[in-house]
Amino acid sequence: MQSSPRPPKLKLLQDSLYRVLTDSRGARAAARAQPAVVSWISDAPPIDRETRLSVYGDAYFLRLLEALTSDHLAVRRTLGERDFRTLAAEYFARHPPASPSLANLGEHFPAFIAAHRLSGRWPFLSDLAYLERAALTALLTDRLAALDPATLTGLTPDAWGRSRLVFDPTLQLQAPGWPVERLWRAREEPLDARNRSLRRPRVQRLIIWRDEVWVRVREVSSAEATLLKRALDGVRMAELLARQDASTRPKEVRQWFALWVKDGLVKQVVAPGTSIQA
Amino acid sequence: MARGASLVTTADGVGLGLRPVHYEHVLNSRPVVPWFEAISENYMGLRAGAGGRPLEVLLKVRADYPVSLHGVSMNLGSTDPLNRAYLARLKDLIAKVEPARISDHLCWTGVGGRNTHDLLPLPYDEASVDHVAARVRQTQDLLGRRLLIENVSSYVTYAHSTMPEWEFLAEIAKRADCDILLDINNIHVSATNHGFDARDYLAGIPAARVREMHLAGYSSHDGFLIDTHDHPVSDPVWDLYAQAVRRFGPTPTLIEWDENIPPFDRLRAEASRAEEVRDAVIATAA
Repeated sequence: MQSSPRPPKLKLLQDSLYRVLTDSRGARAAARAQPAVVSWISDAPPIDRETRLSVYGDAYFLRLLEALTSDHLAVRRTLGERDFRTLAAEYFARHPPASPSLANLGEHFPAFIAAHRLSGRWPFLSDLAYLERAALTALLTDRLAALDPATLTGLTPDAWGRSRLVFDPTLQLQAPGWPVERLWRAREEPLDARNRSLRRPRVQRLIIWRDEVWVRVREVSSAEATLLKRALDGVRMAELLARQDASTRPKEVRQWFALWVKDGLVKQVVAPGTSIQA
Repeated sequence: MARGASLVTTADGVGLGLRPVHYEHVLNSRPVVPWFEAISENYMGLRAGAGGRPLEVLLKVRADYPVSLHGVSMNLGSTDPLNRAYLARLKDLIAKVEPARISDHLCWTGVGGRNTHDLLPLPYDEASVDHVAARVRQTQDLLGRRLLIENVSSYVTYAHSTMPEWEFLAEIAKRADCDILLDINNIHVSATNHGFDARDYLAGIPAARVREMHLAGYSSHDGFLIDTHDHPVSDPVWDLYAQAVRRFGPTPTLIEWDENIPPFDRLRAEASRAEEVRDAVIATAA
């Protein structure tokens, strides 16, 4: 063992090394500017101390980049490798990871993109990132047990009117200003210049949820989205069905409801004094 | 299968890491594997949530296989306070999974509330022994379970270290009264990078505390080794594994492969080779 005249306290060592290893200039450059930190590292030729530190520094950035990429394949596909790396590096500098789980790494990424200069060139990019984040959230959220549709037949008309729907916790509604669903679906396809950008804004109503296997995204009409939002807010069925837009036909509403049940969005029907679920 | 007492909680033999790329194969084929290792943090979900789809898969796997929970973010060596929110979530996961073993690394992963998501080495000195042993004890108390602490691969050591790594590991295990997860590949990587004899490492570890071993592959960059978990186990590591089995006996062993993950059958073949190495040592010793 080599001896050091003034060994650093563990707290000082860790604070200093953290700054060197996560420095956006790279650990090697940061180490050159911190000779005291380098002096704490054993000198063991032929590999110099700065190179040894850079193993950790390089791994820090690459590990985070890999995690952010896997959560935002569509954003990366639009930007391409170089711009995505630049965006990611700036994001990590602004929002260094603070969670034990890498799944939380991108929690500020959509908002960061919205304020980033690249949004001037790709105005839909933050919408796309919000959709990818919603998909990850659906993937990592627990589902409720499935509703048995047959149990719905046991409700009297009166109980049905007084009931509220309970939706699966994975369900989310989004209304991006750009039709980003197409880019999200193409996220794992080879880079194709014709299918990595959007030309015109259009508000798109999307529902995002998870079934037993994977995350699902579906575009819905404005009327269905409005009804679903009110149902999510806990409005009773009688009121939901009574206060429909004049252009919405009862048959449509029945079809939407049937689809919500079939897709596993509805998990419970709760009437005063009773709860029906699987 | 009902949750609870009927679950098998021993995990012997050569296990495999449960990774998303193999979820469907494991669920659909129920391959013959003695036990699976699961990375704890991958089953804790997002900041405010539970585990979602990965936890659903893990619980289905758990119904048929023993599982060990292996963490990467316990941050046992940090000077930050213990992350009690993280430990509470881990405790919830432990209650659901009923793992055979719970392990994490002898390292620090972050400081100042930040996480590097890397396994950073500690100075091997008395102050670090005191610091880490106290935190391991506290963590075991909080979780209500015994921990295994794992040696990490390292690329730097500190000039003010006063003892070799194996003494550091053994002393912490003794003072914290915890068990040891001995990563054979990590010993080889660090021995190569720092120029010590891996056999001295094995000789310095108290056999009674070794409850699990890990095998993995590394990458070589002009003789400097990086613990990448993206290759088959190398010949020097197989040799060292044989020596470890000779010293520690037939200990539960994990094949780790986390990058460029091959088809499941290739992993199983790697596990079979570990079984052959183990059985050959035992047959020779008998």
